[in-house]
Amino acid sequence: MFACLYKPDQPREHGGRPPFSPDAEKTGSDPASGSRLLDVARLFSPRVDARSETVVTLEVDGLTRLFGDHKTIGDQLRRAAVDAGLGSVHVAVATTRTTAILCAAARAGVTVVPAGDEAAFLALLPLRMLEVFLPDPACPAEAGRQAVWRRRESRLPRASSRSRESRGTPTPDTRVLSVLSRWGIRTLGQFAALPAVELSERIGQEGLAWQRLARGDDTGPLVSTREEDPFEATVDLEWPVESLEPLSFVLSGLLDPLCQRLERRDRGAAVLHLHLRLVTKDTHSRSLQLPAPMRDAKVLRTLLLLDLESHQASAGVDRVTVTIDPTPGRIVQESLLTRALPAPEQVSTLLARLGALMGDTRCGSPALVDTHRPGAFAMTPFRVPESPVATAKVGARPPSPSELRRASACQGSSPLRDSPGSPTLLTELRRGHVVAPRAEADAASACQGSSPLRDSPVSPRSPTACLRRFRLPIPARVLIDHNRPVVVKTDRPGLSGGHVHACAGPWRTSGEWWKTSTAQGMSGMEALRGLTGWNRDEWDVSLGDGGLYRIFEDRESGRWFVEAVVD
Amino acid sequence: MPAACRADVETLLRNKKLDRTLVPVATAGVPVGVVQETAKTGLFELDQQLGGGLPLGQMSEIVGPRSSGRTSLLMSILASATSRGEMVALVDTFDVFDPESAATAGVVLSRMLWVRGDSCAPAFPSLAHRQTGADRVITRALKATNLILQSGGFGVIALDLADAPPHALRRVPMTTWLRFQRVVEGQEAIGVILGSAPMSRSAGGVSVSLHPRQGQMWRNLESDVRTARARLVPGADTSPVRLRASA
Repeated sequence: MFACLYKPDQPREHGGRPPFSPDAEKTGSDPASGSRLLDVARLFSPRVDARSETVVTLEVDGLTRLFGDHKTIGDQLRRAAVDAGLGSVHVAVATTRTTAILCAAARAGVTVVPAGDEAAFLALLPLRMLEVFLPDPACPAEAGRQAVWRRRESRLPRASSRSRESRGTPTPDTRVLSVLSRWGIRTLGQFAALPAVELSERIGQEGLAWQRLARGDDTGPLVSTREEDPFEATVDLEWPVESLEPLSFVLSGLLDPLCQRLERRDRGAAVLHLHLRLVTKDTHSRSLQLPAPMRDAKVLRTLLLLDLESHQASAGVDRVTVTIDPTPGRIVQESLLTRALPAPEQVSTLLARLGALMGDTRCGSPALVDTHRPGAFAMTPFRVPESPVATAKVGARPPSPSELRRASACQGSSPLRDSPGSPTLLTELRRGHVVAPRAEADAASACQGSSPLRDSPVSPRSPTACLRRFRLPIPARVLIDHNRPVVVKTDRPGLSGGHVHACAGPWRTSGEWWKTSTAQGMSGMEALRGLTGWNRDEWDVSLGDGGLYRIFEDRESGRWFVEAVVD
Repeated sequence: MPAACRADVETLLRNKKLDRTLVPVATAGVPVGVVQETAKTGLFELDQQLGGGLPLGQMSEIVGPRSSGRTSLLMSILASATSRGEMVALVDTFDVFDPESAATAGVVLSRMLWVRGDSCAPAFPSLAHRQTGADRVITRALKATNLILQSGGFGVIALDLADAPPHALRRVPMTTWLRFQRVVEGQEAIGVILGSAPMSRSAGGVSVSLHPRQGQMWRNLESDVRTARARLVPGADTSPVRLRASA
């Protein structure tokens, strides 16, 4: 025997309307009430199946010796639901789960269906009662179960389903019910009385599956919803621990059993929480967001220790608590044809070690920003793509500046700035730098009708002259003659400068005028650090020491700086 | 070195089980014996001279004076690797890497691990009282490189020491380079060290030396690229390949 607990949605109107009505406003499922419904069911039976936030079924075989007859069991369930604050809950007890669900959805109060009377109870129920079996988006397990059921039962040809989807028709689940409604079928009894052969010829196997539900037949056994135990472990230390080495042993003792539990449940750790209770009664808490689900105890311990190296506790520790937020384990199919990528566990450990060595903000992937500020960039977390296929797809050659200029021209923009001066390579170099900041941003917005990024074959190309940029430009003394620099000197050892053999420029660039300028009292260092706008004339000079440099004059202050070396 | 002496040396190395350091003698650009796996640098002429590219599982170096094209060549190598779908790592000792230039050169920045050193440290031959600063920065960069090499999974691991003071580099223990060579051996990865003078590479690696050409430098960043392989083999240097870096 099975019992069903059904929590109806709040109807739009009260009095006279059935508790389950398609016209009733769906207030949405309440995860809290769903979990309470589940808890109520678990008070009576360990075999509980949470179909959705509002429907829970449980097996009640053997409870007659505890509570009495099935009517008493139903009353006890309803009373427990009221005590749990769930309000009015429909309860039904029947020999099949399907019958119990339909009766609970249709009738308020406690309904007991005697064995053999299922057809009589279900015959007069309206056809729309079958909508209770539609998958609930809030319950992924139920959605998955429904998907498996549809794949097993449906024999619809792919072409017809695709054409139906293209016309924007309802999903196949509600399509069957709408067809039956057009045929004049109003009750489950009428639906159950239809001949099976003719029904399958007209609707297919999906119609037969719905008919079995209308008859109250179960489509599969009850699959218990397992109770998730929290992945948490705590240990009280006999004496306070102040260094990391003894703490390492404590963490090993906590993480090993937790990881074994994760492996048994096919789960991985998504977030790792560490709470250290100090002797001063404070709590030093750290949370690590892992890049990929992991359950290797050694890796997790290493990550925690590396994090504690950078964020040490202020006093001795007398209690250690480790909590893991689990997530389903990943199944990653590696390709034999593409290069193996570093595992997420390796990468996370490497990044943690590099962060402890160089600093948290000094390691990552560079990214361009959508600005004309020279040398602007952003640091993003370094991530390894999950799928080798994704890396293979992105293996195309990045666009050349000419392709980007063509793409930008299609968009109607003019990426080239006015660049007075000699039309030499350096002009082309400057154009490359004008376009380059938009390289990453415009990669996805190529000109419509052409896709130079995807269609360009990989081809050999000459190297591009690159810069070695000083993060803080070096102050310089520049001698000007006929509006051109002739001598560049700095106080930096190894960069003494010299006479200018050749130069190109100036290229005037400015931007972010809305930020506080140096004229308003901000120092030049803020401008160099990018905290204010910029207004400069840039030159490319070749000095007597054999180097090729990029220098600029800050037009606000009149000072000269060496910005980069062309190498 | 006479052939008999060479044969004796090779026999001694094999007896001591150090024959992995032996490199087959290249004749007319065609290697003898086992063909070493290589990865392209992105420069067709240089790849031809190297027999396909830089050898995998070896530490190579790119050396040359300032503005000779070292960084441009390194970016070309990184661009070639990232375009193949590989992950690359750059240990930027003095934080001089320019993402704009790299993106223009074709590097897929999302596949790059950039480890930034200290930009405030003197990047050039320093005064006496600043020696310890450069040493500390170089030491951290070497440790970071070691971590990345041991982690594995990267196609190219580059260490930029181009602006390091020579006296600070001379203080780096030789065992550091040997450790790098041992770690990268057997991996499907290229180790590249960027410097102003030759410092260290694997016996199976390549030294790419850039010499800026005079006179025509203003039109393009032009350099003569010379490559050198095993030092024991005379005449290993071949005719220079012209490297012309443009926009």
